[in-house]
Amino acid sequence: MLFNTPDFIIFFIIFLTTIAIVKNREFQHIFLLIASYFFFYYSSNYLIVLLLYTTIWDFYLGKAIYAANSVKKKKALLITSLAGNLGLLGFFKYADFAITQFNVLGHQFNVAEQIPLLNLALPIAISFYTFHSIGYIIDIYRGQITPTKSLRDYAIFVAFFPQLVAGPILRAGHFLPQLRQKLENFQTNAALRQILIENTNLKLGITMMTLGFFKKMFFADNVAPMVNDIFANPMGLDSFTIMLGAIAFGIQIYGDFSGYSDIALGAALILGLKIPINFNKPYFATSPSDFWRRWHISLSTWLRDYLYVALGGNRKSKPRTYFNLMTVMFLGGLWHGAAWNFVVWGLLHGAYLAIHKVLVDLFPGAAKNKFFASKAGIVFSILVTQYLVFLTWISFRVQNFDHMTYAMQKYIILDFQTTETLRFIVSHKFPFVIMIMFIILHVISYKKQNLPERISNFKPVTWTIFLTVVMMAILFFFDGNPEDFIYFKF
Amino acid sequence: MNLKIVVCVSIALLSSLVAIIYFQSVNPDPLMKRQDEFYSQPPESNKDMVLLLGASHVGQLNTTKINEIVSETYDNFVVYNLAYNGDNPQKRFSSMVKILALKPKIIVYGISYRDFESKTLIENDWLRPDQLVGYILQIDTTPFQINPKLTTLQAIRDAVNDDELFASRRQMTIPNTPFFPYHEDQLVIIPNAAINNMAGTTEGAGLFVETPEKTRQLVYLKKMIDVFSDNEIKIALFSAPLHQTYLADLPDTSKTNFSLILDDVAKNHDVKLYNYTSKYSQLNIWANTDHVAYNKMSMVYSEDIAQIILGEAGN
Repeated sequence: MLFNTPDFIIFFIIFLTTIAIVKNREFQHIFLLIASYFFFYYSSNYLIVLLLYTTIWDFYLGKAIYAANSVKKKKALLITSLAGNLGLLGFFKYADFAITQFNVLGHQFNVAEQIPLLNLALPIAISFYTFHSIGYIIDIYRGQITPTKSLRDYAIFVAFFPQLVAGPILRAGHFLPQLRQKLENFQTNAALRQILIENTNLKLGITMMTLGFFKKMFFADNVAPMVNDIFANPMGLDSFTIMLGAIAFGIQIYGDFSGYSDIALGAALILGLKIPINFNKPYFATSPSDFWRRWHISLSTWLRDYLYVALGGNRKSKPRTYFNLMTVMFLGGLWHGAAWNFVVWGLLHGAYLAIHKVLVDLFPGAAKNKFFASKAGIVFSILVTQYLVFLTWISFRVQNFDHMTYAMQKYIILDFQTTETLRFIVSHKFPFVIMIMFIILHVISYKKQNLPERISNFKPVTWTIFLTVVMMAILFFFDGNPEDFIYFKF
Repeated sequence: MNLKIVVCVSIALLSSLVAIIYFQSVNPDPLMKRQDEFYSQPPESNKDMVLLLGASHVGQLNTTKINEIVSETYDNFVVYNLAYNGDNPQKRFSSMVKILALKPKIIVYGISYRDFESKTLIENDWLRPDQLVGYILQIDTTPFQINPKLTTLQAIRDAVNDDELFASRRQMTIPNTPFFPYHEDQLVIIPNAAINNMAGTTEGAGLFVETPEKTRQLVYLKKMIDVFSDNEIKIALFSAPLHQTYLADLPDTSKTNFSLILDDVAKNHDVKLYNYTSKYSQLNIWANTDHVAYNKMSMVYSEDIAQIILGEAGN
């Protein structure tokens, strides 16, 4: 079920009304689980079986790992769990990609036989719920959490509908205790927490959801036509047009993904459940590592805690640290999709992080340098970082390899032609105006921290006017054909 | 839950909904407006109607020329071209009742690759809750198609009047073609050499068509054929012509699957199918890579469609 459809609004209103009326805790939790499964089933139908499989597989393996009395046994069970999870992910998401590469390789060696593609449907959200579950298992293995005794609690953790499809990626240690009254160590003997819709949470949640819809439906969806027009075939376009496309796509993907996250956070908050933030003004990052502290935070911290640390992190030699950074970002790129453009995207970010680390290691005092500490220095750092980040958006957006290399080359080596750029702006005036509006609002939201909280503290009349204006902006510029969230396909 | 908050949200939601509904009623979508006008007051005629249906590739036909040719043999026929931009079988199916009310004798439907793009995959309809109601009641649950953005931008254009901000292109209407506005660039023939230079950059390069069983639009096309047959309306399909550059850009799988779709329709339905996809692919008659120009030098396309009508009328 897409958030930006009337179906979701109706679903959510019915769900909230039921939760508000029926106070029985058992019922509320079972209803939350059923609603989450319904939400998933609505758009994935029979593929819900995979979600159930992941839930049951890791619930029992988690318990087995905890109960195992030897390290060897724990490790064997961990590997079993990982094989089950990654096997599922690999089979459904990467099998055809692997077969294609195998066929291409075979062709190079004049092998006439081609392995037929499986043409499997990509299960929605598989990358997200697999990561939830893997995180839970590794936390148990590391002794950081004890497994929950309640299958229902675990199933809610894996399938919690606000974040099920596109995150943020939850951590069991953070989420599971919230389902119980005593916020400590999965006390399943402790009574279930009653889901109370509190006024402060409700108001803030609605504000966040409204802003999320605004980002997605007003900004992202209205910039999309220009992005599609530029990147459908960028061959022959001049440098500034490519840059315009890269910036537009940067706005689109931010509006799309952070909009989704805001809706998810808001919906969870209304239920009194806190899920981690996923974005923190990423386009004001002053370095590549700063960018990853601000962009898709739940993924970057997941990769850091479960992959980077497992590889040795920065505890080994410097070259090994750089290698680890590249590996993590390579896999992070591949996580987004089984295509070479995502690999390029990941590797570029890996290279940025590694080079940044090299520079920090070589010039440890640079950050304290007078220039970099000044306003001009910060603006300079932001511009350089964002120039590099927007270069990677080209590889994220353009799948065709020839098109991608052409566009990236044009982005790096400027040709100073403006004819095509002007033509694109003239034929896409509305998206262009939307882009400018986004930049202005983005700067305002950067300067005024905690904007959703500030808005939710408005007096009722002002708050109603705010909601009305935003809703009208969304409705009046809705093109009747809702675009999918970009991260749905991951 | 605080009643005050619920009231605030309800007021915001209701007032914005009322505003958009009012705005839409005052400024209807130009296409919807044209359709409402046409269907609510269909042209009075004692002649039998022949309807041309499809998207922009059908819109480029010269209805006047077709009428001339058809009336030479059958002066009791009048041809209307009801093509509009962005049409597809699913959208067209939603206006079936209105089309049937016109009591046409012959329907000529133009289809193309775009109609079957893979973004409209079929997904076991009966298994999906959102499709279940429609499946049980055997009704179409496709949401009502509206495009407030189009109306809003049009209103802004009207408000700023001669200002170039969001200015739309000049357009004109052609007799018997009520839903399809013509822009100047649709009338001009672009030399083949110039079109050939677009190789690798046409829309065809990224157009993917799935196999028949995965294509939702095919379901609607078949439903439509069945409804026309049940109402004793003759129907002929033709695949719209494309320029060689566009055809060369199309992925092979799309070509194969499009052929399978055509075969599927031809085998399972009593309908004549005319394949014009590559018939004019090398001729110098194109406005762009996928539209024959509306031009007196491009009449061959309209003449062929007139022959389809004559063939159907003679059966």
